[in-house]
Amino acid sequence: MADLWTNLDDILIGFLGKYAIEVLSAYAVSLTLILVLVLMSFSRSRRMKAALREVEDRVKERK
Amino acid sequence: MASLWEYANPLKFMRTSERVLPYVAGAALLCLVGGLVWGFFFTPDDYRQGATIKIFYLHVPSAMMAINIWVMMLITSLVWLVRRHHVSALAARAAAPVGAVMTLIALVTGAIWGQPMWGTWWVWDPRLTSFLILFLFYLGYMALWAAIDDDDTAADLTSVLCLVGSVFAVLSRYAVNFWNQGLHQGASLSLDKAENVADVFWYPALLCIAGFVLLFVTLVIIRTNTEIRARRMRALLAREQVA
Repeated sequence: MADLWTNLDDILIGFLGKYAIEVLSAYAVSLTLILVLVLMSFSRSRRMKAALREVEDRVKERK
Repeated sequence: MASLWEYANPLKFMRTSERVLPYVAGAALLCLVGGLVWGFFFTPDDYRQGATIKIFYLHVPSAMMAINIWVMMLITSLVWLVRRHHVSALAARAAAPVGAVMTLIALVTGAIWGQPMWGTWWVWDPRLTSFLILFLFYLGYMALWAAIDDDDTAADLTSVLCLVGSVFAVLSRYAVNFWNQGLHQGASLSLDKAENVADVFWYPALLCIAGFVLLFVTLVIIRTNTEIRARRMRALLAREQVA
């Protein structure tokens, strides 16, 4: 496993040169932020759909 | 032809938007993955910036979106103030977190790029400062929505805040031209071929911009529909309490 990371490091540093850390950290931060935003949007949407269905069913039963 | 105002009906908006959502989301994924992979792996280094040019594919689209999302919020806030359509106010509310994340990405990637290129993470340059203020406006806008219980009052007050914040959205776009000072360079992208970046960087950047726009549309559809459902749930619960 350690060898795999060392090889990956070598490939990326060879590919990106002396700015590898800057480029990789910019991509890591940005893609993480986008992923968190997407997951939070989907998760809140799912929770809200379920909660609304529950309230609507309760209202229908009372009628 | 159907009037645009038909979509002010929450049910009509939800039905139509949920029909187009899979296509928009699919196109967003294709453009984002395609643009970023193309830009990261298949473009050469810049002769001055080296590999840091690859940060451009994230920084420029996110900065463009940060400003344009605020403009979209301004338009929907004006629609709310003039025509009192709830969907427009809720769409502005739904867009704000996406805009805040885009502004944060632009600020962070700019700082990461600035360190090796300018020799500093941050400088109180007109464009950087106006972007930081725009980010704070996004946070203030979201906090104001969360702080007020009555939806209509919250929509009124946040719409006014949006009008005020628009000054900074415009400033962030034109700060370099207005003051002509500071470290930040002028626009990298231009319709004038002589001023635009080289084609080898331009085409993947264009795909990334399309990806960011489509991602924004996808998220705004999902989040607006969630806000519509949340509003309906609050109304039902309030009616239940009265009964």
